[in-house]
Amino acid sequence: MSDFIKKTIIVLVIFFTCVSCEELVQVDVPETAPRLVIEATFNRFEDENANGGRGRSEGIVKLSLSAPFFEKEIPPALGAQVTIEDPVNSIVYQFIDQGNDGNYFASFVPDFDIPYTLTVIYEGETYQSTTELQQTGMLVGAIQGDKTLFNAEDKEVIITLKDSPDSKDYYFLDLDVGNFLLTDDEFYNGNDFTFSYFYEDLEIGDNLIIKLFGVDQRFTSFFEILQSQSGEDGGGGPFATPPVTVRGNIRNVTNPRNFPFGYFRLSAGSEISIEITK
Amino acid sequence: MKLYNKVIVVLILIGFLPTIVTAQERYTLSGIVKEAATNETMIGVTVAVPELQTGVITNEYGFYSITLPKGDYTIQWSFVGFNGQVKKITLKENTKIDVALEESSFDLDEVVIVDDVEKVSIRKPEMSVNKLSINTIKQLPVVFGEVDVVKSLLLLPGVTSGGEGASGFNVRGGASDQNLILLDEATIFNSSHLFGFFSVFNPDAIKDLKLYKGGIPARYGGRVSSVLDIYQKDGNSKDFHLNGGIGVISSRVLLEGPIVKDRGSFLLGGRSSYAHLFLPLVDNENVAYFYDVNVKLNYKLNDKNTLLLSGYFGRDVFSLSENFVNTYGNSVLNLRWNHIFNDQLFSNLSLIYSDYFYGLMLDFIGFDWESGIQNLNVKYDLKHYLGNSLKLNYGLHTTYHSFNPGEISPIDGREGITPSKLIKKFALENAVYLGVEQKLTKKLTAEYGLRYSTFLRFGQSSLNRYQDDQAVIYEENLGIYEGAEPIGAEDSSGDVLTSFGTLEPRLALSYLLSSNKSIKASYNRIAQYLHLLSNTSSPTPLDVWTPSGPFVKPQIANQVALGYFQDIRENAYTLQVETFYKTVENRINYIDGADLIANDAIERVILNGEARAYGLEVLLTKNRTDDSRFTGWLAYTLSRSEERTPGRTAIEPGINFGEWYASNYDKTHDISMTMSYKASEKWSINTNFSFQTGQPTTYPNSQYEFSTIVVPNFSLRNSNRLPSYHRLDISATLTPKNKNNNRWRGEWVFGIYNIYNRKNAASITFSQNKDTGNNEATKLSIFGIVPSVTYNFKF
Repeated sequence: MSDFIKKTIIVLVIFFTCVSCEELVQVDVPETAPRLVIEATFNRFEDENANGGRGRSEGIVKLSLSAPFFEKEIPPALGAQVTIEDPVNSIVYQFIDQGNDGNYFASFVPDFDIPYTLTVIYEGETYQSTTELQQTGMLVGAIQGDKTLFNAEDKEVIITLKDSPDSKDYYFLDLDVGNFLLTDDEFYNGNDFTFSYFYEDLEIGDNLIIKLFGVDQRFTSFFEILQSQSGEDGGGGPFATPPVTVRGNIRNVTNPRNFPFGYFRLSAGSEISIEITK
Repeated sequence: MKLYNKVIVVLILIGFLPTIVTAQERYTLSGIVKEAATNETMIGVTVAVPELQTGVITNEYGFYSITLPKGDYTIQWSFVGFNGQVKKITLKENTKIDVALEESSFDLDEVVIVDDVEKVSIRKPEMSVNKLSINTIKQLPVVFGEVDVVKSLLLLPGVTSGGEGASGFNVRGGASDQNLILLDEATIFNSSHLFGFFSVFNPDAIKDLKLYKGGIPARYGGRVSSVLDIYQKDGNSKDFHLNGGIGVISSRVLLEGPIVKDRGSFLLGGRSSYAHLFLPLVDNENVAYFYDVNVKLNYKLNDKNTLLLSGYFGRDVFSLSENFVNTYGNSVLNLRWNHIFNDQLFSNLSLIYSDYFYGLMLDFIGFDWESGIQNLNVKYDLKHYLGNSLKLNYGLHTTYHSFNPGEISPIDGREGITPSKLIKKFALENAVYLGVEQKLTKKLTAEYGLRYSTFLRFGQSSLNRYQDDQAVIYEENLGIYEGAEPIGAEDSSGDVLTSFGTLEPRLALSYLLSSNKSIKASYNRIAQYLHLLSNTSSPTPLDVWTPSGPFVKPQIANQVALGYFQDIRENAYTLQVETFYKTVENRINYIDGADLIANDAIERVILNGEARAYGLEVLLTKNRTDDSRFTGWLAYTLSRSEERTPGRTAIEPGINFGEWYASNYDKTHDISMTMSYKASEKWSINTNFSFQTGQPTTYPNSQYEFSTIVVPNFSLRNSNRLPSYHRLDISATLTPKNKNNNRWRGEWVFGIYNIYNRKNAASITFSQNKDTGNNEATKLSIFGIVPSVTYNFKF
């Protein structure tokens, strides 16, 4: 919820600095040794026809390296051994980098209540994380509205999600075209929660796919920092929080100081699509 | 409490001793000093007794009292910019002399007594104090020509801010929530309009202000870094007057006049910005404005009793196509009763209600949000003038605080949002104090005292319990701090959850080296029981205050300062050099990703940190003298302000690996030069120049990609600096001759802010350009060159 408030504050500040000006500058930034970046994300959607009714799963383990800030290319991390272990059914999924581009694939459909362990062995060091599939709410509506917020060209999409009354839920919304939102059910537990999202730069005829994922609280704070540091107020401005090194849920077992960036996330998902018609 | 009693007894004994020893036939001269034209009481008027090389200055209510041996004296009442008065008196009984001073015209031939004003200040142990007259403030060139009390403070040594457009101000490396801002004795919680671009004080309604940066007297407490004591005008009790100004951003009017001639007066001031000003977005129905109202009623019941009622109400309003409506501001109501017990004992009783409100309506989510803080404050302060070498200040303060961290309700019955209230918090803050101003020898003067403050945090409807009382846990494997899961919750309504008590000694000494040189030293210890929860570089209006309690300890500051003061060339110049060292314990810091808004268990995201600051301040002032048209000052500050949050155990890294890091408002070098030149009867010219080391910032040391987002990675906090900040401002005031000799007086102020249009960096941010895919560093500068014109009038 406070993500909404924070966003509006940031937007207000930008709005006030209309009198001000922005220009690109050359800055000598410090450099540091590269770290492994692990993006292990698997989303499972309800689908009776997929995987024997267990649902459709999409996701990969993407390995890359951090690079100096002004470097144009982000190098992939190649030649790693990647597995996910299901200790309940004693299955080890082997992930293969077929395209030699740092994207490691396997046929993996997570189930609830199983503590899956991700293991990545890269350049002699072992990285590990254990997590479980997170339950989600349902996207039950997405319609277009007429309101605007900052620009007359804004497109309003009114989204409704159905929250489960039994649990404290944290949600991660992928609103398509690079828009993400984090929210939790503190103020709408068990309700159908309706809110508007205002898109910039959309054309009539564009099709949006909006996805809702259940996540854990740790991911919420991880992604919140990540988003605030990479956004328009990345690293500065009077209303920015102090920038930090964002730590996820993966550790380096061999050498704890050489910790990786990234996150191992298993989410149940719900999706809905909408065509921009006006 | 026992200890406290003893200390009081000892203090009183020390205090009375010299009086007893020197007891002889002595009488008291007392009275009230007013402005002749308006009957406005005057603060800080020097009442000098040349025969004894002694003197006293008038207090916040214009009252003075001095006790002298029987004899003949030439008493001088003087104040810069006013014609002094001299009276020969034979003091053979207690005598009351009320004085009315007339404003001096700027005729340079006229003899103006400015004797002793600075000399007394050289003697006084008061140090680390800056006074600014509202006339000085009004002449300073400022952005958009908006006279701004807070921005003018930034020109003083030891005062910085988080940059243009950042709210509040920082004193000697302290945070902006550590400033006690008093408007007619009432605490103001948010001093900024429009997120910090302007301050909430209407300059027309202000009489006087004083900033204490150190050596803070015992009568102040509750904020650890500074006291900004602002007094509003009482209102003219002789004639009706209308003042005002028309500016680029806002306009203001102020009406004042007698209720009962010479006995009672009123003042009503209003100020408002123009809506739609900042909005180039013409297609939208957006609104952004602020306004404030100042009211004062003043009624003199008789010679010994005066009632004063003051009020302030201010609001900022933003609305974006009615989708988003944001309102916030302070309201303050204050009733005071000045009672003069006798010619040596002056008292003031204040009843104050102060409220800060924050409201937000988000139509696109369907909720209304309100938060705020209210407090009810009773203060009883006495000033006891025991002799010409001894003055006591003592009193009692009590404040009841009520905190509303947030209330959420759905808009017009829409479903989806469940109405809910965050848990309200309550506390009672008390203090008793005794301060002694005493001339110990001819050369040594002391101001010492003790304040004992207590804070009772009352129970609340629900308070979480945690395993081992640890609300924050460190996840060692991942290297992150996380909130602990509560193991239960208790209703503690009606109980006292936690109580704190702090003894706060204060001491200031002044030693006269010669008639125009002195050295001074001071020490103060202050407790602050309220904390502003803010994790941004500069506070936002949305930030909520939270009381100390089971998981949050009070902030405790200790400060020492040393100073050298000198009058040069018959008071034409004053030199002040001060050095200070300050530490603050229990400065709260936040775990990474801490969510401070709508958080009912704030203890789960905070860590206990500390702060320290030290520096050297030099202030050279060119005073107004008879034969000079120049006034101004040059201020230089060399300082360091740092914070640290170490781990609680050896395995924990704390914040920033437990290392000290520069505060956001740390400026190594800070120079400001302000000059005012009275060119002629009609024209006066003011300039100021500022240079500051760039603000600390953090540059990324690498980047990576996650979820299609390019993420800059940051390491050690505030280890880089923005480019240096500097600018030059100039303004010219034209006061046309009053030809018809009518009451209308007008004045044009033409200003240019940042005359050489330097694009000072307010921030440098690092992000990916979505169109090109390249990473970029973007510099944001807030104000380039800004010309302005303001018309002020008086009728």
